[in-house]
Amino acid sequence: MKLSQNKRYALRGENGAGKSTLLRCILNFRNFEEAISWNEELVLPRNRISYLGHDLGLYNSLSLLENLKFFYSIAECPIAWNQVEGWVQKFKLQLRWDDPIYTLSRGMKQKVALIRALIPNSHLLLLDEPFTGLDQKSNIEIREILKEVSRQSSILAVIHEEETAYWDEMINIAGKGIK
Amino acid sequence: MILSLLKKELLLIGRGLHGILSMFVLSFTLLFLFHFSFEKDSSLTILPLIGIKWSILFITSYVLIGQSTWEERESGAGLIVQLSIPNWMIFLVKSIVVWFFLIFVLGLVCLGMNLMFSNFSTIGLFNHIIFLIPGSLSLSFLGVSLGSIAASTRMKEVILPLLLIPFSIPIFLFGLKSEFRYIGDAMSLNQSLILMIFFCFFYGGLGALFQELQSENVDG
Repeated sequence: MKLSQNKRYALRGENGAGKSTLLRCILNFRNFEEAISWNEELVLPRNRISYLGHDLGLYNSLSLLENLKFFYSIAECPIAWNQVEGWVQKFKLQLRWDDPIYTLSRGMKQKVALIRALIPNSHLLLLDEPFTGLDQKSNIEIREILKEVSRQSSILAVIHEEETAYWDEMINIAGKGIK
Repeated sequence: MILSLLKKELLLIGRGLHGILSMFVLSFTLLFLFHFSFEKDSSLTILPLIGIKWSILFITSYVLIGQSTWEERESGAGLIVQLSIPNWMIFLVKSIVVWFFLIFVLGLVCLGMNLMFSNFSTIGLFNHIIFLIPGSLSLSFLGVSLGSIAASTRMKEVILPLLLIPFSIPIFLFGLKSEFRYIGDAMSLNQSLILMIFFCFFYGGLGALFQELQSENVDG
Protein backbone atom coordinates (compact mmCIF):
# COMPACT_ATOMS: atom_id res chain seq x y z
CA MET A 1 0.00 0.00 0.00
CA LYS A 2 1.43 3.38 -0.97
CA LEU A 3 0.14 6.86 -0.15
CA SER A 4 1.09 9.88 -2.25
CA GLN A 5 1.07 13.51 -1.28
CA ASN A 6 -2.05 15.65 -1.60
CA LYS A 7 -4.45 12.82 -2.23
CA ARG A 8 -7.56 11.59 -0.47
CA TYR A 9 -7.69 7.88 0.25
CA ALA A 10 -10.70 6.00 1.54
CA LEU A 11 -10.11 2.84 3.53
CA ARG A 12 -12.98 0.37 3.51
CA GLY A 13 -13.65 -3.07 4.84
CA GLU A 14 -15.90 -5.14 7.03
CA ASN A 15 -16.15 -4.61 10.77
CA GLY A 16 -13.09 -6.04 12.46
CA ALA A 17 -11.09 -6.24 9.22
CA GLY A 18 -8.35 -4.08 10.77
CA LYS A 19 -9.00 -0.60 9.34
CA SER A 20 -8.61 1.22 12.66
CA THR A 21 -5.63 -0.94 13.57
CA LEU A 22 -3.95 -0.02 10.30
CA LEU A 23 -4.46 3.67 11.08
CA ARG A 24 -2.99 3.22 14.56
CA CYS A 25 -0.02 1.35 13.10
CA ILE A 26 0.67 4.22 10.70
CA LEU A 27 0.30 6.67 13.59
CA ASN A 28 2.86 4.69 15.58
CA PHE A 29 5.03 4.07 12.53
CA ARG A 30 8.22 4.19 14.57
CA ASN A 31 7.27 0.82 16.05
CA PHE A 32 6.93 -0.70 12.58
CA GLU A 33 10.09 0.46 10.85
CA GLU A 34 10.30 -2.62 8.66
CA ALA A 35 6.69 -2.44 7.52
CA ILE A 36 6.12 1.31 7.16
CA SER A 37 8.52 3.72 5.51
CA TRP A 38 8.43 7.29 4.24
CA ASN A 39 10.02 8.38 1.00
CA GLU A 40 13.15 10.48 1.12
CA GLU A 41 11.46 13.74 0.18
CA LEU A 42 8.99 13.41 3.00
CA VAL A 43 10.89 12.74 6.20
CA LEU A 44 8.00 12.87 8.55
CA PRO A 45 8.49 13.92 12.14
CA ARG A 46 5.95 12.31 14.39
CA ASN A 47 4.04 15.47 15.13
CA ARG A 48 3.20 16.02 11.46
CA ILE A 49 0.60 13.27 11.50
CA SER A 50 -2.89 14.11 12.75
CA TYR A 51 -5.27 11.51 14.05
CA LEU A 52 -9.00 11.48 14.60
CA GLY A 53 -10.10 8.19 16.10
CA HIS A 54 -13.21 6.75 17.70
CA ASP A 55 -12.16 8.53 20.90
CA LEU A 56 -12.38 12.11 19.82
CA GLY A 57 -9.28 13.33 21.64
CA LEU A 58 -10.96 16.27 23.38
CA TYR A 59 -10.97 17.12 27.08
CA ASN A 60 -14.61 16.84 28.14
CA SER A 61 -14.41 19.16 31.11
CA LEU A 62 -12.64 21.92 29.18
CA SER A 63 -14.59 24.31 26.99
CA LEU A 64 -14.53 24.30 23.20
CA LEU A 65 -12.27 27.38 23.19
CA GLU A 66 -9.93 25.95 25.85
CA ASN A 67 -9.61 22.70 23.91
CA LEU A 68 -8.85 24.35 20.59
CA LYS A 69 -6.50 26.92 22.16
CA PHE A 70 -4.61 24.14 23.93
CA PHE A 71 -4.16 21.98 20.85
CA TYR A 72 -3.26 25.10 18.88
CA SER A 73 -0.57 26.05 21.40
CA ILE A 74 1.12 22.63 21.32
CA ALA A 75 1.11 22.29 17.52
CA GLU A 76 4.53 22.84 15.97
CA CYS A 77 3.41 24.85 12.93
CA PRO A 78 -0.35 25.27 13.20
CA ILE A 79 -2.68 26.81 10.66
CA ALA A 80 -3.72 30.46 11.16
CA TRP A 81 -6.02 30.96 14.17
CA ASN A 82 -8.53 32.91 12.04
CA GLN A 83 -8.90 29.78 9.93
CA VAL A 84 -9.87 27.87 13.08
CA GLU A 85 -12.39 30.58 13.95
CA GLY A 86 -13.71 30.40 10.39
CA TRP A 87 -14.39 26.67 10.69
CA VAL A 88 -16.03 27.15 14.09
CA GLN A 89 -18.35 29.72 12.53
CA LYS A 90 -18.97 27.57 9.48
CA PHE A 91 -20.14 24.77 11.79
CA LYS A 92 -22.22 27.28 13.79
CA LEU A 93 -20.36 26.47 16.97
CA GLN A 94 -19.42 30.05 17.86
CA LEU A 95 -22.22 30.33 20.42
CA ARG A 96 -20.75 27.32 22.26
CA TRP A 97 -17.18 28.69 22.61
CA ASP A 98 -17.29 28.67 26.40
CA ASP A 99 -19.36 25.52 26.91
CA PRO A 100 -17.63 22.39 28.18
CA ILE A 101 -17.27 19.67 25.55
CA TYR A 102 -19.49 17.26 27.50
CA THR A 103 -22.47 19.58 26.90
CA LEU A 104 -22.16 19.34 23.10
CA SER A 105 -24.09 16.85 20.97
CA ARG A 106 -22.29 13.91 19.31
CA GLY A 107 -22.26 15.63 15.92
CA MET A 108 -20.92 18.87 17.41
CA LYS A 109 -18.15 16.98 19.20
CA GLN A 110 -17.25 15.29 15.93
CA LYS A 111 -16.92 18.69 14.23
CA VAL A 112 -14.75 20.07 17.05
CA ALA A 113 -12.59 16.94 16.94
CA LEU A 114 -12.14 17.35 13.21
CA ILE A 115 -11.07 20.99 13.67
CA ARG A 116 -8.68 19.78 16.37
CA ALA A 117 -7.19 17.27 13.93
CA LEU A 118 -6.76 19.95 11.25
CA ILE A 119 -5.02 22.48 13.53
CA PRO A 120 -1.45 21.02 13.33
CA ASN A 121 -1.35 21.53 9.54
CA SER A 122 -0.12 17.97 9.18
CA HIS A 123 1.35 16.18 6.20
CA LEU A 124 -0.89 13.22 6.78
CA LEU A 125 -4.39 13.13 8.24
CA LEU A 126 -5.61 9.80 9.59
CA LEU A 127 -9.37 9.93 10.05
CA ASP A 128 -11.32 7.04 11.49
CA GLU A 129 -14.94 7.37 10.37
CA PRO A 130 -14.84 11.19 10.24
CA PHE A 131 -18.52 11.53 9.25
CA THR A 132 -19.95 9.71 12.28
CA GLY A 133 -22.87 11.53 13.85
CA LEU A 134 -23.04 14.28 11.23
CA ASP A 135 -26.15 15.49 9.44
CA GLN A 136 -26.16 15.73 5.65
CA LYS A 137 -25.32 19.45 5.54
CA SER A 138 -22.37 19.06 7.90
CA ASN A 139 -21.26 16.02 5.95
CA ILE A 140 -21.05 18.13 2.78
CA GLU A 141 -19.29 20.99 4.61
CA ILE A 142 -16.66 18.66 6.02
CA ARG A 143 -16.06 17.12 2.64
CA GLU A 144 -15.46 20.63 1.26
CA ILE A 145 -13.02 21.39 4.07
CA LEU A 146 -11.17 18.11 3.58
CA LYS A 147 -10.97 18.80 -0.16
CA GLU A 148 -9.39 22.15 0.59
CA VAL A 149 -7.02 20.66 3.16
CA SER A 150 -5.95 17.88 0.79
CA ARG A 151 -4.24 20.46 -1.44
CA GLN A 152 -1.49 20.49 1.18
CA SER A 153 -1.94 17.20 3.06
CA SER A 154 -2.68 13.58 2.33
CA ILE A 155 -5.81 12.12 3.86
CA LEU A 156 -6.46 8.48 4.75
CA ALA A 157 -9.98 8.03 6.03
CA VAL A 158 -11.87 4.96 7.18
CA ILE A 159 -15.35 5.13 5.69
CA HIS A 160 -18.36 2.88 5.33
CA GLU A 161 -20.17 4.75 2.55
CA GLU A 162 -20.31 3.37 -0.96
CA GLU A 163 -19.58 6.72 -2.60
CA THR A 164 -16.36 6.67 -4.62
CA ALA A 165 -16.34 9.91 -6.64
CA TYR A 166 -15.10 12.12 -3.79
CA TRP A 167 -12.02 10.01 -3.05
CA ASP A 168 -8.91 9.85 -5.23
CA GLU A 169 -8.40 6.21 -4.43
CA MET A 170 -10.30 3.47 -2.62
CA ILE A 171 -8.40 0.95 -0.52
CA ASN A 172 -10.28 -2.16 0.54
CA ILE A 173 -9.20 -4.35 3.39
CA ALA A 174 -10.44 -7.90 2.89
CA GLY A 175 -9.89 -11.01 4.96
CA LYS A 176 -6.48 -11.72 3.45
CA GLY A 177 -5.07 -8.22 3.06
CA ILE A 178 -5.31 -4.96 1.13
CA LYS A 179 -6.81 -4.73 -2.37
CA MET B 1 4.49 24.64 25.39
CA ILE B 2 5.17 23.84 29.05
CA LEU B 3 2.97 26.76 30.08
CA SER B 4 0.11 25.47 27.89
CA LEU B 5 0.48 22.03 29.45
CA LEU B 6 0.55 23.54 32.94
CA LYS B 7 -2.58 25.55 32.26
CA LYS B 8 -4.39 22.52 30.86
CA GLU B 9 -3.45 20.34 33.85
CA LEU B 10 -4.52 23.02 36.31
CA LEU B 11 -7.86 23.38 34.54
CA LEU B 12 -8.37 19.62 34.29
CA ILE B 13 -7.67 18.89 37.93
CA GLY B 14 -9.32 22.04 39.20
CA ARG B 15 -12.47 21.57 37.16
CA GLY B 16 -12.64 17.99 35.97
CA LEU B 17 -14.92 15.80 38.08
CA HIS B 18 -14.57 18.32 40.92
CA GLY B 19 -11.13 16.91 41.70
CA ILE B 20 -10.08 19.41 44.32
CA LEU B 21 -13.48 19.45 46.01
CA SER B 22 -13.68 15.67 46.28
CA MET B 23 -10.15 15.54 47.74
CA PHE B 24 -11.07 18.19 50.27
CA VAL B 25 -14.30 16.40 51.28
CA LEU B 26 -12.53 13.03 51.52
CA SER B 27 -9.70 14.40 53.68
CA PHE B 28 -11.97 16.18 56.10
CA THR B 29 -14.35 13.21 56.32
CA LEU B 30 -11.41 11.12 57.52
CA LEU B 31 -10.43 13.80 60.01
CA PHE B 32 -13.98 14.02 61.40
CA LEU B 33 -14.10 10.24 61.62
CA PHE B 34 -10.95 10.07 63.71
CA HIS B 35 -11.92 13.10 65.73
CA PHE B 36 -15.31 11.72 66.79
CA SER B 37 -14.07 8.13 67.15
CA PHE B 38 -10.97 8.72 69.29
CA GLU B 39 -10.25 12.33 70.14
CA LYS B 40 -13.59 12.80 71.90
CA ASP B 41 -12.71 10.19 74.57
CA SER B 42 -8.98 10.59 74.93
CA SER B 43 -6.51 12.79 73.08
CA LEU B 44 -4.52 10.99 70.40
CA THR B 45 -0.76 11.25 70.84
CA ILE B 46 1.42 12.81 68.17
CA LEU B 47 2.61 9.49 66.66
CA PRO B 48 -0.82 8.20 65.50
CA LEU B 49 -1.64 11.73 64.33
CA ILE B 50 1.38 11.65 62.03
CA GLY B 51 0.19 8.24 60.80
CA ILE B 52 -3.27 9.68 60.06
CA LYS B 53 -1.67 12.58 58.18
CA TRP B 54 0.39 10.25 55.96
CA SER B 55 -2.62 7.99 55.36
CA ILE B 56 -4.60 11.00 54.15
CA LEU B 57 -1.70 11.88 51.85
CA PHE B 58 -1.84 8.42 50.30
CA ILE B 59 -5.62 8.38 49.82
CA THR B 60 -5.81 11.90 48.38
CA SER B 61 -2.89 11.26 46.03
CA TYR B 62 -4.58 8.11 44.77
CA VAL B 63 -7.91 9.90 44.19
CA LEU B 64 -6.27 12.85 42.49
CA ILE B 65 -4.08 10.76 40.21
CA GLY B 66 -6.95 8.43 39.37
CA GLN B 67 -9.19 11.35 38.40
CA SER B 68 -6.61 13.24 36.38
CA THR B 69 -5.57 10.19 34.35
CA TRP B 70 -9.15 9.06 33.82
CA GLU B 71 -10.06 11.95 31.55
CA GLU B 72 -6.83 11.71 29.54
CA ARG B 73 -7.50 8.03 28.98
CA GLU B 74 -11.24 7.95 28.31
CA SER B 75 -11.31 10.88 25.91
CA GLY B 76 -8.24 9.74 23.97
CA ALA B 77 -6.80 13.24 24.39
CA GLY B 78 -3.66 11.89 26.07
CA LEU B 79 -2.72 10.06 22.88
CA ILE B 80 -3.20 13.21 20.78
CA VAL B 81 -1.04 15.27 23.14
CA GLN B 82 1.71 12.66 22.91
CA LEU B 83 1.87 13.30 19.15
CA SER B 84 3.21 16.79 19.81
CA ILE B 85 4.87 16.72 23.21
CA PRO B 86 7.56 14.37 24.53
CA ASN B 87 6.34 11.88 27.12
CA TRP B 88 8.81 12.99 29.78
CA MET B 89 7.52 16.57 29.59
CA ILE B 90 3.89 15.47 29.96
CA PHE B 91 4.92 13.32 32.93
CA LEU B 92 6.88 16.09 34.61
CA VAL B 93 4.19 18.76 34.23
CA LYS B 94 1.38 16.47 35.39
CA SER B 95 3.42 15.35 38.41
CA ILE B 96 4.17 18.92 39.42
CA VAL B 97 0.52 19.98 39.12
CA VAL B 98 -0.63 16.93 41.12
CA TRP B 99 2.02 17.77 43.72
CA PHE B 100 0.88 21.40 43.88
CA PHE B 101 -2.73 20.36 44.55
CA LEU B 102 -1.62 17.74 47.09
CA ILE B 103 0.40 20.32 49.02
CA PHE B 104 -2.57 22.70 48.95
CA VAL B 105 -4.96 20.09 50.33
CA LEU B 106 -2.42 18.80 52.87
CA GLY B 107 -1.85 22.35 54.10
CA LEU B 108 -5.58 22.61 54.76
CA VAL B 109 -5.59 19.16 56.38
CA CYS B 110 -2.78 20.22 58.74
CA LEU B 111 -4.73 23.33 59.70
CA GLY B 112 -7.83 21.19 60.26
CA MET B 113 -5.86 18.71 62.38
CA ASN B 114 -4.49 21.60 64.39
CA LEU B 115 -8.06 22.55 65.29
CA MET B 116 -9.42 19.04 65.84
CA PHE B 117 -6.58 17.27 67.65
CA SER B 118 -5.12 18.86 70.76
CA ASN B 119 -1.72 17.13 70.54
CA PHE B 120 -1.16 18.01 66.90
CA SER B 121 0.28 21.41 67.81
CA THR B 122 2.93 19.92 70.13
CA ILE B 123 5.24 20.20 67.16
CA GLY B 124 5.12 23.22 64.83
CA LEU B 125 3.33 23.36 61.48
CA PHE B 126 6.67 23.59 59.67
CA ASN B 127 7.70 20.27 61.20
CA HIS B 128 4.47 18.69 59.98
CA ILE B 129 4.94 19.95 56.44
CA ILE B 130 8.67 19.51 55.91
CA PHE B 131 8.55 15.75 55.27
CA LEU B 132 5.22 15.83 53.49
CA ILE B 133 6.65 18.03 50.71
CA PRO B 134 9.21 15.50 49.37
CA GLY B 135 6.89 12.60 50.29
CA SER B 136 4.01 13.98 48.24
CA LEU B 137 6.35 14.78 45.31
CA SER B 138 7.56 11.15 45.30
CA LEU B 139 3.96 9.94 45.37
CA SER B 140 3.04 12.28 42.51
CA PHE B 141 5.92 11.01 40.36
CA LEU B 142 5.03 7.42 41.15
CA GLY B 143 1.28 7.81 40.65
CA VAL B 144 1.50 9.73 37.37
CA SER B 145 3.94 7.26 35.84
CA LEU B 146 1.84 4.29 36.93
CA GLY B 147 -1.29 6.08 35.71
CA SER B 148 0.12 6.38 32.20
CA ILE B 149 1.25 2.76 32.28
CA ALA B 150 -2.28 1.79 33.34
CA ALA B 151 -3.69 3.80 30.42
CA SER B 152 -1.69 1.82 27.89
CA THR B 153 -2.66 -1.59 29.24
CA ARG B 154 -5.94 -3.38 28.90
CA MET B 155 -6.38 -3.63 32.67
CA LYS B 156 -6.77 0.16 33.07
CA GLU B 157 -8.74 0.74 36.29
CA VAL B 158 -7.31 -2.32 38.05
CA ILE B 159 -3.63 -1.76 37.53
CA LEU B 160 -3.28 1.66 39.19
CA PRO B 161 -4.11 0.59 42.78
CA LEU B 162 -2.45 -2.76 42.17
CA LEU B 163 0.89 -1.08 41.50
CA LEU B 164 0.54 2.13 43.47
CA ILE B 165 0.07 0.46 46.86
CA PRO B 166 3.19 -1.76 46.91
CA PHE B 167 5.41 0.83 45.22
CA SER B 168 4.41 3.57 47.66
CA ILE B 169 5.18 1.52 50.81
CA PRO B 170 8.86 2.63 50.95
CA ILE B 171 7.77 6.29 50.81
CA PHE B 172 5.48 5.78 53.81
CA LEU B 173 7.94 3.74 55.80
CA PHE B 174 10.77 6.20 55.35
CA GLY B 175 8.51 9.27 55.58
CA LEU B 176 6.99 8.15 58.87
CA LYS B 177 10.30 6.95 60.24
CA SER B 178 12.01 10.24 59.31
CA GLU B 179 9.29 12.27 60.95
CA PHE B 180 9.30 10.14 64.13
CA ARG B 181 13.08 10.39 64.31
CA TYR B 182 12.96 14.14 63.80
CA ILE B 183 10.54 14.53 66.71
CA GLY B 184 12.94 12.64 68.97
CA ASP B 185 16.11 14.18 67.61
CA ALA B 186 15.98 17.55 65.84
CA MET B 187 19.55 17.07 64.60
CA SER B 188 18.40 14.28 62.28
CA LEU B 189 16.56 16.72 60.00
CA ASN B 190 19.25 17.03 57.33
CA GLN B 191 19.90 13.31 57.12
CA SER B 192 16.19 12.42 56.94
CA LEU B 193 15.41 15.17 54.49
CA ILE B 194 18.23 14.15 52.18
CA LEU B 195 16.85 10.61 52.20
CA MET B 196 13.37 11.87 51.27
CA ILE B 197 14.80 14.08 48.50
CA PHE B 198 16.69 11.06 47.20
CA PHE B 199 13.33 9.28 46.98
CA CYS B 200 11.99 12.17 44.88
CA PHE B 201 14.86 11.83 42.42
CA PHE B 202 14.53 8.06 42.41
CA TYR B 203 10.80 8.04 41.66
CA GLY B 204 11.11 10.98 39.27
CA GLY B 205 13.88 9.23 37.32
CA LEU B 206 12.06 5.93 37.37
CA GLY B 207 8.87 7.61 36.14
CA ALA B 208 10.64 9.43 33.29
CA LEU B 209 12.28 6.15 32.29
CA PHE B 210 8.93 4.35 32.33
CA GLN B 211 7.53 7.03 30.03
CA GLU B 212 10.29 6.64 27.49
CA LEU B 213 10.23 2.85 27.55
CA GLN B 214 6.48 2.66 27.42
CA SER B 215 5.35 1.06 24.20
CA GLU B 216 2.73 2.70 22.03
CA ASN B 217 -0.86 1.62 22.30
CA VAL B 218 -1.70 0.12 18.95
CA ASP B 219 -4.60 -2.11 19.85
CA GLY B 220 -7.00 -0.16 17.62
